[in-house]
Amino acid sequence: MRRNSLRVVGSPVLGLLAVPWLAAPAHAHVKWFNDNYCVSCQPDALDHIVDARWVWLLALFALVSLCAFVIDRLCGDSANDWIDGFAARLGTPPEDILRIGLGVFLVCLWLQPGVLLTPELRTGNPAIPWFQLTLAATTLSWRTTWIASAGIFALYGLAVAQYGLFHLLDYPIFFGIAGYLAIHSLGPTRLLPYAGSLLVGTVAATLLWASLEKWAYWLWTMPVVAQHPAIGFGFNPKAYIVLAGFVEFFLAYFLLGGRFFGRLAAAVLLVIFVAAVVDFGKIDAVGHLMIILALVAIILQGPQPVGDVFTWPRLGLTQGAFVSLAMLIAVLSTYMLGYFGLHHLLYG
Amino acid sequence: MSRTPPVRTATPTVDINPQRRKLQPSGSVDAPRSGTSAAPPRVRAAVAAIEASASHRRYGDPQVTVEARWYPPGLAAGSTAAPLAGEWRATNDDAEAAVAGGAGAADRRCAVVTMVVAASLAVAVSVVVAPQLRAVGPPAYPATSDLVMQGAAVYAAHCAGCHGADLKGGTAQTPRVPPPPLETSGHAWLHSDATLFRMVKYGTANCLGDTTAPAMPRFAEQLDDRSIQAVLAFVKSRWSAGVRVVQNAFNDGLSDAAETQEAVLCTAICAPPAPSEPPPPHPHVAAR
Repeated sequence: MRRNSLRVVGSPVLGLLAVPWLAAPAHAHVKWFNDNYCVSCQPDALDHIVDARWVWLLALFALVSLCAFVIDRLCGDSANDWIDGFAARLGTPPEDILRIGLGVFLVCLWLQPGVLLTPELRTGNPAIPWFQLTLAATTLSWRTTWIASAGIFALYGLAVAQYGLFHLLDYPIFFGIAGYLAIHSLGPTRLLPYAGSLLVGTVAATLLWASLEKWAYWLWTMPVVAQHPAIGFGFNPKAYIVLAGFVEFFLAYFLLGGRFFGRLAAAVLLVIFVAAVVDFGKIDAVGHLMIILALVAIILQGPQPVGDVFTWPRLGLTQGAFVSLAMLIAVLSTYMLGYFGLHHLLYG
Repeated sequence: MSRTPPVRTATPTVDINPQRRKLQPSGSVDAPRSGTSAAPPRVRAAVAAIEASASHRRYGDPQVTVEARWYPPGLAAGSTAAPLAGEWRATNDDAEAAVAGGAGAADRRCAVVTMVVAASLAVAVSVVVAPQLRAVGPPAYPATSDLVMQGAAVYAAHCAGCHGADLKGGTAQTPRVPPPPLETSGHAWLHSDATLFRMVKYGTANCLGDTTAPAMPRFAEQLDDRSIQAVLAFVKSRWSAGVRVVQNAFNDGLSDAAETQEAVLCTAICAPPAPSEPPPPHPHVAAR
């Protein structure tokens, strides 16, 4: 009897804990491994996405998030103090990690001619790889790193012109990393406190958009999932993709709206992306290099002022936790409206 | 003449309003009375420290109002208020201590109860949702079943010529591209049952105007529905269980938009052609 009740309670809890790790295969960027994607094609109908299973999953993740918000407010600051101490002992500034990482990333792009920022963005311009190598050289010193940032902005603009804005909304992280490094390179005193917020905001925006894509274009992920043994864990393949979308969305939100849980979410995402690299190899490693390093930087730098927008730290524990949850639902609604609205606007 | 002494607060007061607990770390330092000098430097330092801590504020920081009012000792005789000197304390620690001992403790209890209730509900919801996440076992297609055996015969007669006897695809040059493999190296398993059925029955010629799509001929005239289902059962019997699980997921109520995606994903769709425009007979079919 007792064993049965333990199983009833324990299975879902264990299942929840295992979700991030099981979600790893779905986080390999689908466009890198499946050429047959079509951004301009109609996404799945909204009323088809928001089915009973989706609503139940939303309720489940919202309830878990509410617990997380309370725990974050109760003891998140103590945990942050401990991590801050550890990060201080480590003595590696996150901006240095990103600067050096960007250099390595740009060299990798140079070694893969024809690639523009990410594996699925292609260019026939032979000058681009050399341009990317030049940008890599500028990351050797903080004095010239702003040139690399300007170059990333230019490459992003080129990609928008070639592939369209909707496609490039997959990658606001490049915008954030370039801005973050430009601020640290040029050192404007007024902007310096907001560099971390820019980084966290764009990483979260990237992941939130990607999670929407998993719901709207779940078919794209199907072949990738099918090629992975994780499918054998007993999940329905489509439910697995929907679940991966929820995991990604909520973890991304915690990057924005969590204090200690922001760092924890970054750590879980780090595990997911590294696990995906182990499974999917070199393309995934290069493609995810910058987001992996950005997550490391987020863990090291800790909570940023942008979090106050979503957490309302002035409120008490209970009130604040409920407000954080309300903000989460507001972000979800805004993103869904934005995703489908923008697609309709751009592609009809 | 009785003289009511004013409320005397010789120490800076920490005003915590649990109803609207806001962090306002600006010190409202009253102008000193009775000829006292300006607020002591320690007050100013404390206010500055609170202002500086605003960028590192923590959850639940209360409204902190530093009020420095001083009255001459004679105004309130018998008051137990401590002397002004040395009593300027206005730090967040005071505020936090006050929170912990008062409204903060109630808030914590409320938060813990909220968390326990939410966690219990989460467990209940996960029990409800768990069955919906499990893979629906695809129908098994034992090689010895009547349907599969019939399908094998149909396949050998109508399909093997193009797609190969071993389902590994053909080399025969149709008007467009070679017929794709039907085993897992192809993309047949990325279609729903309904789409596969339509592909066989109506063919893929003239689909979406895509002239590069494989020119699968229509078999509506050669095969009845039962035979088409049989040949699909035979093809599925050659797929692994994992692939059949994935393919089965495509039957999960595809909307029209998703079917369009499916078409793009697999570069082919099989809508029944208009009766007035029958697709040209496939060379293989014509030869038969």
